[in-house]
Amino acid sequence: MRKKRGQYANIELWFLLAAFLLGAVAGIDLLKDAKDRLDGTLFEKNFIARDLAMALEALYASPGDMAYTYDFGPYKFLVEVKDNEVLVKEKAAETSPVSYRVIGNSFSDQNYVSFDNPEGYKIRRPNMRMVSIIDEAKPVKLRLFKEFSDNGTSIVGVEAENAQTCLIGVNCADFGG
Amino acid sequence: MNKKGATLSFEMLMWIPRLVFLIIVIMATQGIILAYIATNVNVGSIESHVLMQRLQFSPEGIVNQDSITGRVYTGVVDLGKLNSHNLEASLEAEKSELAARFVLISLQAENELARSYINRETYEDWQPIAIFVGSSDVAGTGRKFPHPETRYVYSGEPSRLETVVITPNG
Repeated sequence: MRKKRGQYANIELWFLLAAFLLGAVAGIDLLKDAKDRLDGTLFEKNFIARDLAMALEALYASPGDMAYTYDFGPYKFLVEVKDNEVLVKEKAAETSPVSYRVIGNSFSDQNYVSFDNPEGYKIRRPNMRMVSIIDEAKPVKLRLFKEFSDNGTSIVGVEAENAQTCLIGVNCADFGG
Repeated sequence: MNKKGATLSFEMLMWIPRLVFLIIVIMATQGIILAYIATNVNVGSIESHVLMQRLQFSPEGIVNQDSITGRVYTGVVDLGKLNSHNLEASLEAEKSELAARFVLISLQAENELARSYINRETYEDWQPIAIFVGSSDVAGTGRKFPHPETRYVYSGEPSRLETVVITPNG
């Protein structure tokens, strides 16, 4: 009987300990997460993803040839520009990059035909991934451009300066992507 | 003896809801703290404005273009281009990304000349939420933001183009 009561008290103590441990783990995790968010570059990555997406959307609006150099300043982020989104990450292996939508258009897949332009417009969209930074001491820049050809087709492109890049769906597999 | 044993087992069982409540309290505290650390900036209104500029200035938009010179006549709407099919091709947005309504109204006769949508179904789903969010200061991740805009254009007659773009939170 005495032994049994002790046994119950022992189990209750383990539950109490488990509750304290759970609280401690969650508390430490919360503090770590909050510190990471404040010290880290999440805000900067969010800003650059949105800013770059807006810049690309403004390029789409251009009625003529246009080029724009986007300087990352002190940040050494790796950027990926896909059909409808911009992804920003710090390392190539990062599994959860910050992303933002780019409202592109589907003229590349489907010609837009009007009375004025019976041949239709064609826009080729950028599909580029930065694989690595070449010189960490130099700033990373992107050149965003829209170029029209005589037949009304246009290219919206992204080229990187001081970074090795690959084209998604073409040669990114060579870089493990 | 039996009563005491039953009381002890009951106390042990009570630890299950205690632990569940502890988890709820921890998650709620975490949620409240993290909600106050802002890492996102809502750029929906700028995005909506850029998209409207794109329709008005780009040859892929809704305005007239001279086929020989390639010149875009900003503000002169080509009614043939102002339809849902061309708008959706021009601003290829996923259903979860953006929805918009375009209404072209004659300034003289005050009648509707054209009405078209981008992601019409999404627009109709989001509109009540957007109206509610627009009229009150509610918080939450499911918010939808309305961005109404009026532009004065020429479409064979003086008219105004009333657009409402709805963007999700994020």
